[in-house]
Amino acid sequence: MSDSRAEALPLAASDAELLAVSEQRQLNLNLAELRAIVQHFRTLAPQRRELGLPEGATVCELEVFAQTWSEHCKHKEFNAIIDMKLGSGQAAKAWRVDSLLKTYVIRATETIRDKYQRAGKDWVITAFDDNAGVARYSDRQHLVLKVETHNAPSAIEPKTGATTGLLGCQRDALGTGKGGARLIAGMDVLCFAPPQPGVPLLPGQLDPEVVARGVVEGIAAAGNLTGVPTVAGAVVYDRRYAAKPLVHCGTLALLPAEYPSGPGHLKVVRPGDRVVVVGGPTGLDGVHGATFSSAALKTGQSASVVPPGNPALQRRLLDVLERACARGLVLGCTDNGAGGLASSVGELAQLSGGAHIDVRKVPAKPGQISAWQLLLSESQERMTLAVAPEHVAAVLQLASEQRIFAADIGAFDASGVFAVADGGERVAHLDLGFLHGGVPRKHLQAQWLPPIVREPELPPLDLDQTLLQLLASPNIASREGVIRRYDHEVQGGSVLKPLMGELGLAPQDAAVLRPDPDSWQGLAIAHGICPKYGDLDPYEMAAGAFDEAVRALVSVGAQLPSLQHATPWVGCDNFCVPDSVYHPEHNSDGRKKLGALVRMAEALFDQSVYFDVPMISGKDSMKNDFRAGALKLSVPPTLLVTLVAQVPDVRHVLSSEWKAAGDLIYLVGATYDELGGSELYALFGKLGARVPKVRRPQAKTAYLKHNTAHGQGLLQSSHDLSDGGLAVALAECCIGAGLGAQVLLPGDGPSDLAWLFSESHSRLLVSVRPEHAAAFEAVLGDTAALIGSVTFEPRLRVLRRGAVLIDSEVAALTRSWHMGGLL
Amino acid sequence: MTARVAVLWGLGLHCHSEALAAYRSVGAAASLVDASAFLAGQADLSAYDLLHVSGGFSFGDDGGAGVAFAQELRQGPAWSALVAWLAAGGRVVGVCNGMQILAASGLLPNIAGTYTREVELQPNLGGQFVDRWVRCVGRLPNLPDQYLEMPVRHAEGRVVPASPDIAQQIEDLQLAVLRYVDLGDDVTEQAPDNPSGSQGGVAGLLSADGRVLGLMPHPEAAMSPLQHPAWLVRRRLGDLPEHGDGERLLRWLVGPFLQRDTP
Repeated sequence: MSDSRAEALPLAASDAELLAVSEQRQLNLNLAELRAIVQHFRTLAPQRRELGLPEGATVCELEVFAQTWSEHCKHKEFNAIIDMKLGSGQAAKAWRVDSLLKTYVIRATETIRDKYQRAGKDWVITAFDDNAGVARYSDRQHLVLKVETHNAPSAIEPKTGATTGLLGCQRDALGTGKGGARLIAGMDVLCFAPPQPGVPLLPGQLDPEVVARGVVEGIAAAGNLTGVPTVAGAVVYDRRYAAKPLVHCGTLALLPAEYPSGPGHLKVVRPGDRVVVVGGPTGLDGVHGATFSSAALKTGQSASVVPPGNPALQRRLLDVLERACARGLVLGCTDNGAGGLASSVGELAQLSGGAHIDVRKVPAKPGQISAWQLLLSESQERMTLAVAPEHVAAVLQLASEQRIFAADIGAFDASGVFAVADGGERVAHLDLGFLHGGVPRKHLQAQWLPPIVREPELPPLDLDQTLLQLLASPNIASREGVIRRYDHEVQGGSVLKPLMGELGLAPQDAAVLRPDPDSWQGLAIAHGICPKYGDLDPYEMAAGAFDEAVRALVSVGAQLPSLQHATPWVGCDNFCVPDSVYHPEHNSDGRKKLGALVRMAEALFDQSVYFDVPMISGKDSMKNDFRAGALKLSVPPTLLVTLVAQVPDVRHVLSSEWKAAGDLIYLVGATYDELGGSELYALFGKLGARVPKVRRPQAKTAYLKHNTAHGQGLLQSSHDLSDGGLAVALAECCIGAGLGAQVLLPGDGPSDLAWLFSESHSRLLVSVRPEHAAAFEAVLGDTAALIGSVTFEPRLRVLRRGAVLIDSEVAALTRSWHMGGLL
Repeated sequence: MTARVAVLWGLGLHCHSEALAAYRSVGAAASLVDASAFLAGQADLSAYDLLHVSGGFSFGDDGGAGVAFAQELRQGPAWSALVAWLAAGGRVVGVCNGMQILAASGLLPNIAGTYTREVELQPNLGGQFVDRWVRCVGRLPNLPDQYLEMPVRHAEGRVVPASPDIAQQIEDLQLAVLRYVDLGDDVTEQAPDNPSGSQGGVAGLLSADGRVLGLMPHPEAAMSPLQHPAWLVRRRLGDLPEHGDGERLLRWLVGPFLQRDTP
């Protein structure tokens, strides 16, 4: 009898014995889950004796449960029942959340879809239902969007972790619907700790700079070698990301609407179809990845759970899939990520109602490997396909031409069971319904209390110096050192690149792509992420992240969706938070952390519904902590919002840099004294109190007027305001153009400091030809203020109430901005 | 006569889609040819006038950029057919990884006529992959305007001749047909205008018999004016051309390049 077939969870085991098994095998299953499994197997005893299997779950079966039910795969906390309390005492508001995902994310999407369906204009095709979201793009193609995180692996093996992160996300898009989507863009949003000279590292912790360099190298390797342009992203610094870096990897793809085998977005798996594995060989690398990434990092954690990535092999896999699918050879397709074949075959088997495979038919790396390891291995660059029996030979042929492995390992059926054999020996016989639906739900407690904070006293400032310091600060400085290491132009579709202008210095708010050279249609991609506001107000932080992405897309000229202009916009949400499950000793502030998460999710709902921007996929990562003995580091709660908007004609986009001297400069949107969490305060190590708030009605008004003015051809440039506020936005427009600006700020409103550095949301800095001023002002009304003009002399001068606040040569601004680039 | 172009794809060569579209946009009859079939000697080159070796990372560039692909080409059944086809008037252009393959296989510049490796494409002096737009000046007969702006995207682009003698012959025979220039239009060896630090600013090489061309910049990614990073500024200044510079270079490839017999 093989080890895979041995009984691992005897029906008579005591609670202590059950927990010991979970601990020994590093399964991360809790007692309720272990009991549920034993209970389920009790009902099957006679049947299992007949099958020649032990009564209790076999090693192989137990391993499948551990992976399938891991936090990583089942999102037990994001789907938990949560008792939430906002505030304290009499004024507290309490409510119960039945799954954050359903309540705040899926329900928002459904609300929007419902509104547009009634008008016959719904553009969402698949949301939260496949490896990636799918939405309408054209009659011939759908867009596919996915953003994933790969935090834990990147913390211990930065380069490998990031490479497998991006490659894994590519395969999610590739394995959506029938599969074979054309990958047209990659994205990376990276959260690192800034270098902290003099701060000793904890045992097992990598130097933040080593992490940052390794991650960028890993993303570059994955994107460049696969020929998928890395077009958009962000780097965010906060010292608390020393606990774990956050490595968000995104992929945008176009999926043919119709294949010879039927609609591209629909997997149709019938009993009798074959289970075909394509890609690299399977080995011991990456066994237990899903359970590993569902736990906090511990000192001395081994890197062996991080499987190496092979981008060159993945490129050939992309080529094979694209061609096999185009020929109608594939009926359904999914990636082998967390949980390996157990997950991929298990998922596809739900469509036909069962599957049986022989893991010894899986192409394996040299060396001994047991059946459960073959089944659970997370060796990279593998896809599982459903193929009609008559097409198997053609798929194997295509794979062999590109020199990658492919094997027919079994068949789908309608037995209701996922059956696994090791050669002639049965090692697992799992009820599909229980495997996917049997995990007990968690019940958690959450509470959010507003912090007690106040505005700091700042010393008198030399504002020129302050601006130079801000330009060189980690969250603002040039990203050129990262951007130029990524091929962002392969496939020839980039219309707005990350850096534009004659000198290639102008940072852009969003990337714009033109995927097909025979059409002017395109896509704009932007991100919003601002964890720094979360300590003050997680709701406003999340709302701000959403607004940041919206205003970036508006800035490049995308039309906000409405029933009149049903421009398809879609999004992807990524929540990364520390362990948010209360525990009296190990996580005494767990309720507060979960409270912050609930507030973030509420904001996502409110923004999504208000702006008619549905999320079509998303991911949560719940255990972003680092433990060394009694010490625990936790990342700040972080929401990344990735938005993609359709652009009917890419010739009508806007870039950020000034275009010509003499153009007038307007500030769209209102500025408030909202320096809380600002980069200005961060220069002095302060947090402040007044957090930027998203005022949705005003924001929408500003965006729609911007849309109208742009539609009339009145805008020459547009740049959104974010980190560092107006002063930094002005500097960036000058740096990008090599031109200057003469600015006179309004005498009314907030203080000089707030005018210059407040990070109030929903603002855009635009330039307008003088002859268009009247038309522009007629559209914008009091939503925009004329604040200055573009000058030929490369000098930024800002005046207010007769005083010169800033007077700096653009060369000096550029120098600081470049010097601060950390990579 | 419509030029017949074979665009190689696969085994890591991945700039084929844009290359295919680019050739078609200049009126060529272009089709994709599977690199594995080509290496196996199964591609009928006689059906083509020009073989385009696409950019990418063939075999992941294990063991050096283009080296593994070149080895298989030299040792496999495709080699003799390729040499015979070249002798019969065929033309080859390699872009980026394509140029690296041509150099590693001895097809470029092939001064001695013995297909030995005469130049290497070594890592950029900056040590890193670079994606940036560059300015180049060409020396390509019958190309209307020799000033070209195109993107480079590579980590190993520094053209290093195997000996001073070869370096001298490259100059004497005028085989360095594309060079990086700075803002003042002078040939440069300095980053960022010369992203690899290539000596003499060499960005492209022609073989001694004029039949094989290698380019580090990507003309197929400079076809539309909208691909240029300064297109919005230039449009405002009334300075936006109808096509990108790569289009002019591609027209040259499917025109004058095919017709010449000697350099």
